[in-house]
Amino acid sequence: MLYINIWRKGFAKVMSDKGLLSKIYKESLAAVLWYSPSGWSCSEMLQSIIKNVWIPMKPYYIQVYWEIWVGIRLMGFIICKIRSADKKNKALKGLSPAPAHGHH
Amino acid sequence: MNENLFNSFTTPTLMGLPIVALIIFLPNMMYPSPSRLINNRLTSLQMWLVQLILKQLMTVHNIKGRSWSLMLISLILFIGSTNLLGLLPHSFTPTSQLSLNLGMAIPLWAGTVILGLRNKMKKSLAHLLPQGTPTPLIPMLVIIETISLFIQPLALAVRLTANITAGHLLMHLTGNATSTLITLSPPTTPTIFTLLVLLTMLELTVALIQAYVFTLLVSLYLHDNT
Repeated sequence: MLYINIWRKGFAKVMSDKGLLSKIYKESLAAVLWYSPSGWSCSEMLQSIIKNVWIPMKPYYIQVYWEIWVGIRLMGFIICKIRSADKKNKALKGLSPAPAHGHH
Repeated sequence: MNENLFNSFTTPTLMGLPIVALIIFLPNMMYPSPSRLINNRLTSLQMWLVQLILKQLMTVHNIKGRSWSLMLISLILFIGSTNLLGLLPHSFTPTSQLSLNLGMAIPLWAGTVILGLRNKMKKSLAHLLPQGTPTPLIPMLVIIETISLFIQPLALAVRLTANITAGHLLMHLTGNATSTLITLSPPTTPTIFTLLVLLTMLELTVALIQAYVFTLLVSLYLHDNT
């Protein structure tokens, strides 16, 4: 993690020294790379998630819950079908002419 | 008044951005993860509760079924805490939305069915015909059992949605009636207020019972297929 931090700061400094970055881009890059909230960068958060969530839960996600992933794909398929049917319905309603008002 | 009655069920937005995902992740922050051998009181109470629920739910299962313990415990804690948080005034209850409940019910039910078909196909298919059925009734009963199998996720989702929505609507109506009757007819207000208090207590119970029923049914489907 320390090497990543040194690399991040070094990269930004090298890029700005070589004049490859405009002033505005340099300042926004500094804000993203250096001034992260509560001292955590995206890469550190990702490493923490991998270490604390993915590694302990890997056998569950891959082996135990395999059937649940299939169920999630089935649910996604159902949602897709419902949405496309709704879009077709709305397109058909838009195409059909509105009924006349004196019509009872 | 009609518009106000169903306003609490619309998905909340903040400056045009939907914040439903934040609300769904909110109960996660209430549960501290035990990090020591002997934890503080709150964590110990939480661990005791989880062990009690685990014993109730997972005793009947074999090794294959017990691999779903984490999923079932997470499910009951999520639904129970979401339902209870939804009883707070002016809050949004994610489990009152059919979309969320279907999103929970369909993958879990499909997971149990696919698990059964994959590992014990004969035993899973045998559930489509009850024991002792007369021979002439077999075709009709197989069709009926297949239909009841496919209705299971719908029933799971609609049961939870209907219970939570109906309870919230009743509380809203009774609260409105109480606040209106205070000015119109003060002698009847204590009766309606007592009804509101009893309804709130009922809704607290319903919130926990519905979480238990949802999880128990998923556990039952898992038991049938393992």
